Amino acid sequence: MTELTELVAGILLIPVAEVNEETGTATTAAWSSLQHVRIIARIEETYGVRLTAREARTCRSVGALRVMLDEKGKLR
Amino acid sequence: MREKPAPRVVEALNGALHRLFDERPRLHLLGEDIHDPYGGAFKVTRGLSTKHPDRVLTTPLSESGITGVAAGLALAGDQALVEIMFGDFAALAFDHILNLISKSVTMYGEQVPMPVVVRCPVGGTRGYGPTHSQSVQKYFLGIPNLKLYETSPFHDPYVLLSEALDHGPAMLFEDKVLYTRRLFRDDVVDAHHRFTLLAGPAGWAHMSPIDGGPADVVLLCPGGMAHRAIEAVNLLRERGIVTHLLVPARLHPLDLAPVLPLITAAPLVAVAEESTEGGTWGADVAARIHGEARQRIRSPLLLSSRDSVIPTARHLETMVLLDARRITEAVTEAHSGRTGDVPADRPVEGSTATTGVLFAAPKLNTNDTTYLVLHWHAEDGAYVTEDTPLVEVETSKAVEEIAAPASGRLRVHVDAGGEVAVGELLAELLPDELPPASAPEGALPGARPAPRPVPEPTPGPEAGRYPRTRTLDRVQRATAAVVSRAHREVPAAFTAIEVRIDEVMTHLRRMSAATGAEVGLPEVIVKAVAAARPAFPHLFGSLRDERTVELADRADVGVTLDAGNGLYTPVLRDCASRPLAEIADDLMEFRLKALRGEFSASELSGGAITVSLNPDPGVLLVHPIVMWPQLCMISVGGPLERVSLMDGVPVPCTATTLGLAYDHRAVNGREATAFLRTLAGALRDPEQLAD
Repeated sequence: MTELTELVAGILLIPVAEVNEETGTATTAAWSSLQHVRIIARIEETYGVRLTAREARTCRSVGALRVMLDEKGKLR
Repeated sequence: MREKPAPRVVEALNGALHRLFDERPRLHLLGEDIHDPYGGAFKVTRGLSTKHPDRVLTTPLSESGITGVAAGLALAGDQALVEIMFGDFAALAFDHILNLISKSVTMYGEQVPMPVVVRCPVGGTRGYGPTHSQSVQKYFLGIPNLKLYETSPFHDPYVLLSEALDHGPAMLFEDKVLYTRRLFRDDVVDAHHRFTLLAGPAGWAHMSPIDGGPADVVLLCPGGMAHRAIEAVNLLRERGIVTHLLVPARLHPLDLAPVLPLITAAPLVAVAEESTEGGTWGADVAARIHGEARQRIRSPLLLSSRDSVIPTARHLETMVLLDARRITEAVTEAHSGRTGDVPADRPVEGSTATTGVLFAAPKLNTNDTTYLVLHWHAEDGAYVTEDTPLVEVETSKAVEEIAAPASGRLRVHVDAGGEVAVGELLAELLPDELPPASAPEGALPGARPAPRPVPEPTPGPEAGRYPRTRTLDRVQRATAAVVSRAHREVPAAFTAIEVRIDEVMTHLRRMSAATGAEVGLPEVIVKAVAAARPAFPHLFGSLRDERTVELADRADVGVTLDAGNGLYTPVLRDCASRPLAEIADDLMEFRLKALRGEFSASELSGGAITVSLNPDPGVLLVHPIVMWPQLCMISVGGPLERVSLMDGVPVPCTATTLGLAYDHRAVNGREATAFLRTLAGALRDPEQLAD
């Protein structure tokens, strides 16, 4: 399964090395609202989860996405 | 306390007439036996003559005379309702309706208001016989200036009558059996279905299953047929067929635009009506649908009553008039023929029952029942080799290439541009030893004429050459229909201003960090637009005719979203009174739906104004198309890096462009500029949009 950082880097078109847990809407200009939706969609597809709108809004960084996926049991 | 039941249609009509007489001092009612205590043959006018004796006139038995007097009242500046006791008798009023009432609107060199509404009880199933049971709507279709409405259990008759009077002349058809049925209330139809009104209270009723699901069938019918259609929908439900029902308040002219996305997304469309066959409303609607949705759907299924006078004997009348059972059976049969349930006698791929190999459309995915044939890689009559790409078809998800199942000479059965159902014959591959010129006449029943002679087989790089084309998908074709109409109908003008967004972006970053949930510029702009409605009410609404703007009673704001699967404009409801976080939730939901392509028709209709979002960096200016019948569309460009002077010192800042395209018939440039300045002010001081 694609690692979360690779997934995010692939959509934002930035090097994987530049992606860390803090990477998110507040820190990365490339993480626009449209890219955010694309990231959510790719995560749903890759990890087999379905996010609510509120979850999509609160998962604003790689770290937050990882916590969400862990809580849904998708990282074990 | 037990809730009072919803009114019966006859009570609602009676209440509507009382209210109209209270509101309109120049309104008159003419008809036979309409005075109290009789109150009309169906009691629709009960109590009116007692309350308004000088304006409710019971008349001699002359439909022609009554209608002529009504026309005279309208020409003299009054308003008139005519009650025809049975719609069948409207034939006697036809001359005045055709040659006086409808023509007077535009035959005197200027627009003349003709507030006349002719009410006609129609329909059978009561055993009233051939001359008291007809559905006469079809005889009045297509008369210029004459609008036709029909009562329904979904629509408030007051709204229909008001609109008919304000935009008349018009006729209101009232199904006699419907009189005794209750109106639906609170969006509920039955345990399985709910309804919404699309395009306003006099628009379309859309009944859909509570448990959701895309429609296998979209059924359209006038209001008088609604209960039989609902019964059929429930019978179809038991058979596993999901049916959505559409009922218009106005039969003619019919505005299909609000329901076209729903219609084009359905595998099967059916139109049901009580009128006897021939020259009917249903035929007109089916033709319109076929014309506007050509190549997207198959020809609609038309269900009318049989070609017969309507018998008095109930058991014979039942055989003539369309009922729920016949709708159910016809839809079931048509549906099974379009879902890939291949009958036993239908040829399938690989069969060798005839001289050639039959090539049927395979099932390419679980969702589609039909495909659009885009392109044949070989010409009709050409030799093709097994397993080489032969035909491209478009599914709802992608363009698929299908290889030839065998070698042979190609005989095409479905040309490029045509639709093919799963299991249906696409082509035959004839043995090469069968020379085209010597193929015996009729060797293949129903086959085309003998194939053209072709050169020797030369499959190679040149074999698949063809003009490069792109077929627009369903969503884009729906967009094309909307913007084409807007371009035709709306004389739009455009104004734009540039506004700094540093303050609002800082505010949003803080808010997002504080709440842990992302809030972006689009949500704030939607909120600012909604907040401006009280100061600019005439920018929120729709143009009903050249003289009237229907103002929206709340700020329902559409937003353009394109996540790569087509352009959608879902509507955020009641944005003025809801907190920013809720709007942000809804917008995120819509973004996800745009990506998944899973909107319902009701989510895409009913906006009072629309915002076009174009957030990509560097987008300088967007000139949107006004979404008819709305009056305005706001556009928001991308972030622009600027340098501005602050106390004489150049400082970097970020700006964006706000644009407003507006229908110049209803809005002028001064208002447009003032509106944009108001939005800009809200962005400079975002605290004012705080919840």
